[in-house]
Amino acid sequence: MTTQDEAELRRLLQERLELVDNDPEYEGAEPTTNDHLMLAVIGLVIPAALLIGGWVLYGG
Amino acid sequence: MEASKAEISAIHMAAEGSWPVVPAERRWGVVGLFGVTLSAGIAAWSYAIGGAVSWYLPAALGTIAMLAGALVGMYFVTLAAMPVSIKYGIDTIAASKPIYGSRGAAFSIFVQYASIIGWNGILIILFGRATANVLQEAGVIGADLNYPLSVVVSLATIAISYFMVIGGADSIRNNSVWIAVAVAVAGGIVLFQLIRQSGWDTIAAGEPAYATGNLQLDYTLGFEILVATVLSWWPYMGGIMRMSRSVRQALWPSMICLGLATGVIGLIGLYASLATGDPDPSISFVKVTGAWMGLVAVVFIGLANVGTAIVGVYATMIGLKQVPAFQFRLSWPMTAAVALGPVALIAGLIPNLFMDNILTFMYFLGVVFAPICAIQIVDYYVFRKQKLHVPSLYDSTCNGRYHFWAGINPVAFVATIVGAVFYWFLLDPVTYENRFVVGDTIVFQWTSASIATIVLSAIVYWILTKAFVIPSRKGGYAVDAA
Repeated sequence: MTTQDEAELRRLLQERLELVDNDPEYEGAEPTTNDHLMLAVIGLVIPAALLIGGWVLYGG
Repeated sequence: MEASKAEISAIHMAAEGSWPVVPAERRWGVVGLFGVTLSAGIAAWSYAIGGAVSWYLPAALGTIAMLAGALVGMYFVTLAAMPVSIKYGIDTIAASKPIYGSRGAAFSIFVQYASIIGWNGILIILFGRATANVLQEAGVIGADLNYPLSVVVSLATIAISYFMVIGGADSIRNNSVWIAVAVAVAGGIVLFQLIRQSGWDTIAAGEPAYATGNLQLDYTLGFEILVATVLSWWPYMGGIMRMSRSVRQALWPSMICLGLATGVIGLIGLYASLATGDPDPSISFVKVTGAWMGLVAVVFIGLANVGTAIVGVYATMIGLKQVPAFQFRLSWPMTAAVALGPVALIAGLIPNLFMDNILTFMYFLGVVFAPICAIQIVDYYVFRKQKLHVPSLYDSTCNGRYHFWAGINPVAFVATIVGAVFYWFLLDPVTYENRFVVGDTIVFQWTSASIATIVLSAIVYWILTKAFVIPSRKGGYAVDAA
């Protein structure tokens, strides 16, 4: 890796960051409340129901 | 010495791989995301995860604990790492800079490095052992040659991986779908033979090899194995999800293809272990399939494991190249050696010791990644209100917002250490002891280790950031959240 390569990389990064800074469309969407609710149902509620149901059926 | 064209191109790729992706480049729709996440999620290490669960649980409870654990682990990784990557088009390592600091993010690179070394060790040793076992079963070699041959096959696999990586991993990364197909076919062969030979009744009646005698504790241990191992998707999340622009589009691929797939494929390892009484998939698979079908399965596992290992090595190399000293001073082949060297040492010198302690490795993933996810969730949602300053993510000088103190946020490290120590109290990853006992009750069996660690780390980080970092006007909190 030469100094020239390093300088070229830094220039390309700077270009990209300026592009990002000046682009009003750059930012993707944030999760909505519905997204959070859906995620919580899949990742917390369903597993909790599975664990409790499994314990009732096979554990107790 | 002047760097070769390929090396420079690779270094450019490595550097650019960490840069923000602009909207025009984020072209993956639902189908693209499903394809990539499914090919990443279906990996042969899931067999080993299922084998580990069979230490504690029979088939029915093991199935439930695995599916639930996979979803819960993926919930925390998704919540922590996905929205920030989608909003800003950045990878996980860059996204960790507002937490650990512009220089402290080297910690994220280290944990990525360490976890991928561990997973690659499992993949490569499993393949070496499976090859030796199937050849022994077929009468090609005697028992005395089993160990030496498994080591030779493992080292040869590492050598092949090395030359493929330095030759250019693009084609291998692009063929990740075939890796997933190979894993699924190998698993399908084993599952088909398993049910044909043993029947579900034998699997269901299979006794766990190391049950503690306390079924609730075993249930939580099985659940914890999945939560902890799935948490180790954290370093991979940003690289995949930043190619999408919609959280809603990415949510299902993340939860189903990365999280649930790990649990579902792992069930094959669980059932094979319970039917044969051996939790090591390299042995149980050969016992189930016999010599010739085993040979076919081993070929598929070999293809899949080499492919998966190379993808992991490549991700590690990209991560290592984000360390400025490595980016400009370490050649591409040397970086490959740094990524694969520890795997070769493990596979050549201590394969049995490593595989005997595979569960320790899996629990250690929870020790490390549970606090990281907790801290990232609190930082991004509570303190920064989902707003980051992208140029500061690539500025390691004191002008960047995430410089904190000398590029490091000590509060994040304190919260990580507190979380790790708490995990150790709940479940010692080395001895599997549960030190946190209230009266006669083992706290772990009610709280698990990862979930309790996530809660405590989040609280510690919230308190210390409120008390010290924000009043010191460090970390860019006032500006980011404004």
